[in-house]
Amino acid sequence: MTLLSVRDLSLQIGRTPILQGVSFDVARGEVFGLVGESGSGKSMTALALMQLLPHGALAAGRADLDGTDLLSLSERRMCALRGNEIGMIFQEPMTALNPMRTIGDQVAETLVIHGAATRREALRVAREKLDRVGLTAGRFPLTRFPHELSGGQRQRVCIAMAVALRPKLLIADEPTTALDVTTQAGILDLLKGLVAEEDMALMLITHDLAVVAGVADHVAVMERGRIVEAGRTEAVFRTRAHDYTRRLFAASSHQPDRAAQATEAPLLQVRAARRDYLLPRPSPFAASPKLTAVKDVSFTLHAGESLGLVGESGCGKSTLTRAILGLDPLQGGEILLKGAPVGPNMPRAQRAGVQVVFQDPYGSFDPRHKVARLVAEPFHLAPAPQAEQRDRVAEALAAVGLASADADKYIHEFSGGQRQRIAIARALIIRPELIVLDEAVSALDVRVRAQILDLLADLQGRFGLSYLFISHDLSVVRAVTDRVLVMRAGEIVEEGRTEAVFNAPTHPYTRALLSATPRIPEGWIDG
Amino acid sequence: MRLPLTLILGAALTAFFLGLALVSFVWTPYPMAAMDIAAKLTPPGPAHWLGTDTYGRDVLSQLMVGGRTSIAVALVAMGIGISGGVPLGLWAAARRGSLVDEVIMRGNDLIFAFPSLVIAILITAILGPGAFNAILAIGIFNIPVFARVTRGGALSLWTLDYIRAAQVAGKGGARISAEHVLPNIANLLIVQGTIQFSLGILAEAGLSYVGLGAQPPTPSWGRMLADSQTMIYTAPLLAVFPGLAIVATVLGLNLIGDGLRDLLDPRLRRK
Repeated sequence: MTLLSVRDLSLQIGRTPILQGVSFDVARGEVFGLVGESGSGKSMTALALMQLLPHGALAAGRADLDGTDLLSLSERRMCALRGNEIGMIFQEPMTALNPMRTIGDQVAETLVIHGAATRREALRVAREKLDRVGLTAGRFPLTRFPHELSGGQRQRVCIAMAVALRPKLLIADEPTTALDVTTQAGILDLLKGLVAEEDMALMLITHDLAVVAGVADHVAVMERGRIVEAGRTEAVFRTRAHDYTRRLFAASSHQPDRAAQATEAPLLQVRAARRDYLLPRPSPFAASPKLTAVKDVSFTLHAGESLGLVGESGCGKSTLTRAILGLDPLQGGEILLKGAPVGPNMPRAQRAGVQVVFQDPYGSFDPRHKVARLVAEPFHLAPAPQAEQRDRVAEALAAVGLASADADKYIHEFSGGQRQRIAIARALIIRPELIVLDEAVSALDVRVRAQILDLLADLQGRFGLSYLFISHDLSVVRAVTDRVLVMRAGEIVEEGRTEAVFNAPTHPYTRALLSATPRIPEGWIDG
Repeated sequence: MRLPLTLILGAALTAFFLGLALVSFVWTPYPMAAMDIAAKLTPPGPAHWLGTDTYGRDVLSQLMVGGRTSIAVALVAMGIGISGGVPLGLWAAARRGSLVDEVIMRGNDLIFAFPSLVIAILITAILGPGAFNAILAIGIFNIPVFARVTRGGALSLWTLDYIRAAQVAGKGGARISAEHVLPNIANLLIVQGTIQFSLGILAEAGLSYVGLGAQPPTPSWGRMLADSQTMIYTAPLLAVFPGLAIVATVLGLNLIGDGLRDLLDPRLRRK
């Protein structure tokens, strides 16, 4: 039975059209997946339904929820509806809760605002809902504060808030994108269970085809403000009638063309490396407690090799990365690059041997400098005359597929994918032996990601580079690395050739990681 | 490239008052200190454009000469605050969490703990009253203001990837602060600068009021404002003119601040 029926929804902000003729139906007890790349308009569709659009946005069309047109309701009527008949959960659980109030209060608040219960009654319901989302009374009393919970637990609180009033429609905008794979699997299961139990409709917005494949009954694929293909998930995924859907699929399972070129010569040696943090003192006279983020980690990266480092958030991979880059000192063990020690005080020539590409293409560049100056920054380590620097900037930009004229532009003139190319050009410019790729493709859309992975494979072949590829995304690591390390709680728990580890994982943690990774069913892809 | 309209307007307004102050070095309608008791408290008219004060001195001439003192005191005091406070703030942020950071910031707190007027009285009591010592007193109080604003702005930048990229490129704290941090907190400093400038004019007025600023007969906008206070019912215009001069100059500087922010930010720059 159709609950939400959207017809010819269009939206423009200023004069820019954002959505054009979007139509779809969502039925009770069903999961509807809305898939697309960033900027395709999927979040805007959700915000239009909630009438939470940014200032200056103009929506037209119809969106009937149980016979009422949401788009024509007054703000007062919408307030009564939001949280009551439509619940919503967002991507970032870390900022979605008020840090000053207890989780019980926040779940109960929804009920009190809508006049559905007295405070006492609301707290009872809050307890019930928190139990339902898996936060049991024993470990998670209502008096807990958000900072005492992990990201996944906070997302569960958000879900409890969203379903507290048993809404007919739940909108989830990238609910698991900020979470680790093992946490993601739990949240998706929870959402699926709630849909079945409460007979509500779930509109799941995501960029991840595999997540949709595992959860959604129906799916719509969005490109530049239009729905290009829609239908039952399996049918859409099997036939892939539209060209854009085909391209998305090809990109998400893309395998860059790379030849193994690893040698036996060790390039980076990490020997029993240990990193401690001092935590705040519990009292003015107590010693600062220590947190060991990296516990006696050892591994070797060979020249020309691609080594993957996989682990969930908080496992210590970022801390280890900082030590490998020579930004932080070690508290034990040593890190050697080409046989010489790495540390905050290493000589410039030594530092020039390793460069880095970060995750966020938007935060990686000083907005006040032109591309030429940004890319030339590492010349600080290997000084070269001005003319030569200019030539090499042009050369590096060409190597990553950009024009030499781009050197005179500012960074805000580029898209995320182009910025990541510029970041790679900056890392390449002084020809380091090792490039650390710190979640370098995690923030990119699948098609851009495929291009960047191709570029990395190509550059590796041409310049004989070695990569340390740090990621939480197992499928990407599988596609581009020779060997892989699995890290958990500051320790390497498994190490081996990538194919061997992925096909026959020996450590239980690796097995858990692999089985939690969402996957498009095998049978759907071939053909 | 087109200059932002705010910058043009602000520069024109500020230039007008700065021009008046500069012209006063060579010409004023009447000698600044010349008293004409018979013509005291004349309303504005053809002889005295802005009227005369309680001693029969020409208000326009006083305003022109007073502008020199007020603008100079506020500008130099702001300069002292920026040149002292910004490097300290950058240093504290680059060494965040260290002893250096603690010492700098607690030192700031110490200065903040005293009201500016008390410090100013202390300094002028030791060094003697006068415009120069007023500058010193106001300037010293500006230092912790800029140090705090700078450190706050810089701290959030130090967590960004492009700062890490610069560290990976082997650059040290001082160099990163100058190349990446300072240009990106310039907005904050410009805004704070215009605020401190206006506060400087007011602080100078306050010091003059208690007799520790510019000494008579040297006028300043603040002194004129303070002097006119007793006549507020008989000759309200006496307070209006220096007040307007202060407001218009501060407005002009604020507009310049906004314009500079737009001009310096490549993202806001129009093609």
